Amino acid sequence: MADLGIYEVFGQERSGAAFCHVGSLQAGDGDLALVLARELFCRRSEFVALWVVARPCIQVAPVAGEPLGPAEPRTYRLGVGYRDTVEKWQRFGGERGGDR
Amino acid sequence: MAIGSGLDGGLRAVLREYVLTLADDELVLGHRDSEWCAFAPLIEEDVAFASIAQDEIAHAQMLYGLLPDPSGRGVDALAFGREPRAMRNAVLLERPNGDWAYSIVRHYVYDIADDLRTADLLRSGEPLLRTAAERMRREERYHLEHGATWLRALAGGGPDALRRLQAAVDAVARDSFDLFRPLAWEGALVQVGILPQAPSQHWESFAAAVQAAIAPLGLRFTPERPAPHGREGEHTADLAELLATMGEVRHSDPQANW
Repeated sequence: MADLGIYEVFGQERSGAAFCHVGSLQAGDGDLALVLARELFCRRSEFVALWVVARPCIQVAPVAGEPLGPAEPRTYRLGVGYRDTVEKWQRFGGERGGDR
Repeated sequence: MAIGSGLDGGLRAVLREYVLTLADDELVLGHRDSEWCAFAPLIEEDVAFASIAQDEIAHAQMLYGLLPDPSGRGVDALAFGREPRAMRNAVLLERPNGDWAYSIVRHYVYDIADDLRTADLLRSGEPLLRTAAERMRREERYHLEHGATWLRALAGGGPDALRRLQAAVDAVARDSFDLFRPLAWEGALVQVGILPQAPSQHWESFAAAVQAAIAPLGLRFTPERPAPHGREGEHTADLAELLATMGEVRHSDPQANW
């Protein structure tokens, strides 16, 4: 108990669902962190499972002021990139795709 | 819906006494626990212990709500409107908090007693008491875990921490017999099947359970008899002070509609 540490708290709303980060707390050890997490984060939300992770166990990616992700837009990978496909097809003289 | 509707007047009065022992214990301990809010060792524990206090007070509210209320004065009248002599809580629970070790030990020892008591209620012939016990035990499981975790942490804190912990255990042991003192009316509830056995039958197993729980930490539970008679309305000045504080707002205007 002498050394207090920060613990990140994750809750699972139903079996099979992803664990979601719900907050963090300070505790002397993992056992106490779990006990406190239950009282602090399970008052309103009902979780079926609870994790606490000591913060030093988390490997953090370095971020140098730029957002993470590709340098060039790659809209072809996104659903929105195909929104105008039918219109473009017609504009360039093609038949409606999928009719042949 | 009230309990004991099929019973005669004498038994209904006995059942009321019994439910008041359960409910008053929860209310008074819940209030004492709530006094730690803003003073607990960690801010996280402030919230956690206050949350446990709310659980206990909610249990009291549920139990008071099971009692017939022919005058329609409601649960608040039971919680805030009685003189100390009419309170049926164990004196252990009205003692001032003292240090953190005392509050943790008291709550933990009480939870062990409450566990034995509510396990009996699961076998009660009164369905409303069975349901109440099931609901309370959902939370009491975590209260026990909370207490055991803190006890381990405090016991691992070196010789001074252990000495203070043992002093807390001794103080709790002096008042513990009140929890399971034999009471004149117990047998009547067993006879009609509301209780599978008299609560006082638990005394030996309760003391053994507390000793078994704390012995691995290097602590010893040596309960004394006699303890004060809270169940019969004999209380200390600390309960009068607690009731005055707890009911302060209500007493400022008893007719107000909250």
